[in-house]
Amino acid sequence: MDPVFMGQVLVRLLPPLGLTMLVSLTALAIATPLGLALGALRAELSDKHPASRIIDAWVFFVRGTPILIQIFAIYFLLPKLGLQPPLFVMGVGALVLNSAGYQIEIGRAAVQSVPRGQWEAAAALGFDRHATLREFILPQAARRMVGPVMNELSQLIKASSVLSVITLFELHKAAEAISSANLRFSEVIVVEGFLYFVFIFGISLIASALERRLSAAGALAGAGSFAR
Amino acid sequence: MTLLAARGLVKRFGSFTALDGVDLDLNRGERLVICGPSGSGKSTLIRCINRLEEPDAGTVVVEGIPTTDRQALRRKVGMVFQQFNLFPNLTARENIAVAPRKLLGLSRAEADARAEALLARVQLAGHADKLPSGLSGGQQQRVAIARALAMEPVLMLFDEPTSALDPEMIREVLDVMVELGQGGMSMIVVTHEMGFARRAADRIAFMDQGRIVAMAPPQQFFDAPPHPRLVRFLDNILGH
Repeated sequence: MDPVFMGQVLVRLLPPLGLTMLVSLTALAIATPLGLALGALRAELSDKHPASRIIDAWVFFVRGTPILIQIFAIYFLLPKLGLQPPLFVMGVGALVLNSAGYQIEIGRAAVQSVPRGQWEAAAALGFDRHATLREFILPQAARRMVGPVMNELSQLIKASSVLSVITLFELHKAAEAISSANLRFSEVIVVEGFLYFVFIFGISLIASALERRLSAAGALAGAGSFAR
Repeated sequence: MTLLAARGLVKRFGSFTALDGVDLDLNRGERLVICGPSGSGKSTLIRCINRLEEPDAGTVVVEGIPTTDRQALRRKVGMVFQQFNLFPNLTARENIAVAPRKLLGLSRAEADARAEALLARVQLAGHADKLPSGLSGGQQQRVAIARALAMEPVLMLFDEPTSALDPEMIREVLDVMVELGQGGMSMIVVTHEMGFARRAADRIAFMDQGRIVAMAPPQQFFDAPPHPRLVRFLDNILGH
């Protein structure tokens, strides 16, 4: 191990780390609201509803295939449909496809885990289903989502390394390039791993702070929606 | 004066018939207790009144409320559940104020004032800022009663309101209910608390296998039970 070389690698990997952060956080910003909203919707729809079938098929595909296949699917199939978006967009798209698929299940499970008595209490007061969902069920479900979503976020960041296969020059692709150019693998892999760790660890610190705030201030979380 | 008229209510769950043609009338200000063995249809009956269950046949008319408008009906018919079902993320005050604010259009100040007044009425002044998790079962159930009263209902339904409570908390909930009845509230109470029935009911109905098989004022109900099945039931719950 050559500390000087590792220092150089670290500096050269910072811009690709920036791209990894950008692509992951962009994908997160789309996948989380999309996945959770579709999950909440799925919890409300019957199994036979056409929208349910589409959502279920999405989840089924994402769970049943490796992310590598999902990324290649976007990379090779979109051009066949006459679409040729930039690599960054394809990368984000693949991560959204994958992560939203998992977050649909998080959203659905969280909504369904709110006891039926909560629905009945609101109904008995005169709230319709939509208002019940908005005023009482979602605020309770949201808190149950935080932990699983944070877990999914770290999965998403790690999955972004697979985008290297479509030549997106993110952290892993850059590390690969440096190690093959110099024929030095161990130093690069250590530095690369360190950078992923720092990024994910930083995010998870933010996540647990958020989770603590949401669960400790239970009343405030509810009052947030109540105050609208 | 008739407040509630239910005719020919039938409710089936799969092959099980929970209600088998029930007629029920309630006068304004009347307090009716419904008792009976488990599975006899008591809860289903009152859940059909505010349409938490949709009856398979029959009609329910609550005076002055169009039966087609479920939300309007529910705003005028309060319900108290066995498991309280308070909103766990809202304080006692918010639990009570939320429906008047969102459904009746009261301002925050008006709704909060109504909530505070109701909390005082159920002997919980000073607990307004507590979450349900910070209240005992009896206190939670009294908040739930206040929450239902906040909509100013013309009829209150109680579905085994003390069945989930520790024995020493039953009294505080029943006292609130007795007082409510004395104040003129029309009430239908599903309960096994025969002491409460004797003390507070105008009439007691006994259900068995989806039908009301006996109905009488308390004294006659207990002292001269008008149905053999009821005699056995009373024997079982009072005889030891």
